[in-house]
Amino acid sequence: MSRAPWPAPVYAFRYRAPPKSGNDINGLGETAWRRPVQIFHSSGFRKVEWEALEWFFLMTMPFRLFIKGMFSRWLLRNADGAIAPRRVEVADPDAMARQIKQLARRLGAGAVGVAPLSSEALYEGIEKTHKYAISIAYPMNFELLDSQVAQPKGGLEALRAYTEITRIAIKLAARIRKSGWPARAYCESADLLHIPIAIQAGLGQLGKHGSLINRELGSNFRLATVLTDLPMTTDRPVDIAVDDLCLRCQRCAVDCPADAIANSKQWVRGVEKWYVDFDKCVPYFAKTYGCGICIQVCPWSKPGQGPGLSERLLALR
Amino acid sequence: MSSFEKRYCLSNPTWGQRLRRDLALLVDSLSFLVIWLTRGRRLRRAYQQAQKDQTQIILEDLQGEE
Repeated sequence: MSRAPWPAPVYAFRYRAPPKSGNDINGLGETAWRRPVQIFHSSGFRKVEWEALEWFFLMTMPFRLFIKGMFSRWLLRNADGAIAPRRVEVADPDAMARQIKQLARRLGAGAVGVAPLSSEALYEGIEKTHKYAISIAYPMNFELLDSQVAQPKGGLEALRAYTEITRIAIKLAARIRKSGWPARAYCESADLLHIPIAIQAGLGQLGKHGSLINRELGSNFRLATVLTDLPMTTDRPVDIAVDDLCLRCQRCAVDCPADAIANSKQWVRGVEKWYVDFDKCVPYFAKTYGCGICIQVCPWSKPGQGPGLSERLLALR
Repeated sequence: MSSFEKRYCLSNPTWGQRLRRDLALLVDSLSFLVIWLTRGRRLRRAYQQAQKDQTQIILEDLQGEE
């Protein structure tokens, strides 16, 4: 049962002529694989279909949120930079992967993994030549979000996490470039999709609410990625029993005021997976400063619960 | 259209290229801030009024203002 009187999904804004459904653009119901297309948040690579709502979202957010977002954007100018002329050769990619992960954790990351970069993680029309993707997760303040989700302070906490993870990704990329290898940091609204990379990097599994679930952090985190050619042993996708939970638990689906979360997996661009109804989710997201209710109510997000939950669910198989 | 990455993330910049990039991003950010403070203010007021009156503002009309 829903636990909280969330803001009602009643909107004081609308499209005169609704744009093309985000579900159609996302490929809901399509059984053939293709690359995704940007719809709402955009890096400016192309004009997005739901641009008017994005404009509304940016213009109606409180000043403290707007300025925080601008600050992250300012930091991101240093996502790339000069590569040291002398390259440090990597004799042991396994040790290098461990070293990079330790560094990311020292910089503040809550979880980190390495994946090969594949076209699945790139929007249509975008090409990258890097070989590896380092996926980084940064935890948000669960206690603060517990009382402030779907409120300006909740949005501010998400943006704080984005600012911090931007700093971490930029520092990590800079350290790699110092050893003579190319590296570029990617954070929110980038040209790539962080979730498929994080899944391949073993950071977690996709949950019913369309967000990643990490064994320790649940869904209470934000993601960033560093692309590089630095030779590293890659991680593999993990099975922490997320499906075992999501097939039984209906918490996020029941709590979602916009009724955007389905209780079964659906075909999306050739893959059967959990999918959130874009057309229902995004207007509510725009109304509530980035929402985040599904992430907050997920039983896995409660600090300290994840590892035990995973063990119990795996034991039940 | 060119992405933020293409415009502002330079791979191997000289000191001069970095300075030009920083200035361009600063001007871009300040322009966006001015828009948020002016057009954005009108929009926020109109939105508040619409919420109060239980009416709806039309999103395409906001884009027309850009």
